[in-house]
Amino acid sequence: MIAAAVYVTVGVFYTDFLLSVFVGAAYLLLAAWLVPAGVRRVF
Amino acid sequence: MPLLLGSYAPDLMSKWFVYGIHIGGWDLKASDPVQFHRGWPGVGFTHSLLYGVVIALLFWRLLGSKTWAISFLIGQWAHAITDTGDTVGTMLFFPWTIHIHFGAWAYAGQTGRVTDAAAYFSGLGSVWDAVWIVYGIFSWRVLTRSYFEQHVFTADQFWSRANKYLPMAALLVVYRAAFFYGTSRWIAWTLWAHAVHHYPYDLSWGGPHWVHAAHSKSLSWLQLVGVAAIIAAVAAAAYASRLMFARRGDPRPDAADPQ
Repeated sequence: MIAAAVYVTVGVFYTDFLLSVFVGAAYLLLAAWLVPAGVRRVF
Repeated sequence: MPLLLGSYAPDLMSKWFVYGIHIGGWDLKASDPVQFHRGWPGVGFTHSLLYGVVIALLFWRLLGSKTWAISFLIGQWAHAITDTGDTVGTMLFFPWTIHIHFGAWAYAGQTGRVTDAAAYFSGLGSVWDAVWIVYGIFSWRVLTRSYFEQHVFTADQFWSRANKYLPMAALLVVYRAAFFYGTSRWIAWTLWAHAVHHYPYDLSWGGPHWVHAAHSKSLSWLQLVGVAAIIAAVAAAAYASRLMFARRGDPRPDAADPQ
């Protein structure tokens, strides 16, 4: 939900962010997998 | 994955040239974006039923996967049929080059990506997207981890191969990405068009009428009869093949011979 809210917020003000499904998938991998996995590893 | 690929296939290589891009000192853009995108000559054949069949057969032959072939076909046909909803429509029955179009929402690709997006998210096209988002939300179970592991992962070898490099959590993210992208994109463009820029909604048939939409010619009665004949022939062939397969699978001794 947080990842989606950030994606929408960035997309509204920088619409290039919304144009590609590959950008969307890369963002989601980063926000919903890599970052949480990294945070879990650190803490 | 192949279904997603199929749904993007018609526009995958062409949309950038419809809107145009600026690289260094070069402006690359189709001289007639509508003709290029949906017409012939042009790449409009990518929005035809036949194109989906050809690529699906290639997948079947080269990858040996019926799942990839049929899934790609469903995705590509969904895109080609959905695009008949706008005012230009698609050459659904290519190589017959008539445009099947219902004219529910304005085609404005020739105006550039910003105006096109503003128009699309102000008309019935946006409502049509919303229908699918709501349908997706009602079908939320297909997005769960258990559904992915039991039905999707086991049906497509792509996932088990990808699993050699990525953990299941990452694959689940990739699987959910299409729904996430579609829904978030719809919300973001809607907010951009109506909360930030105040483009007016026009949900009338063929709208929004504030944009200069491109149109295809209406079909003549003869063309309509031709389309109806194709649909009837396909339906008859499907019905006949169903009867044939039903008889083959029927163990009764008299099933193969109605006499």
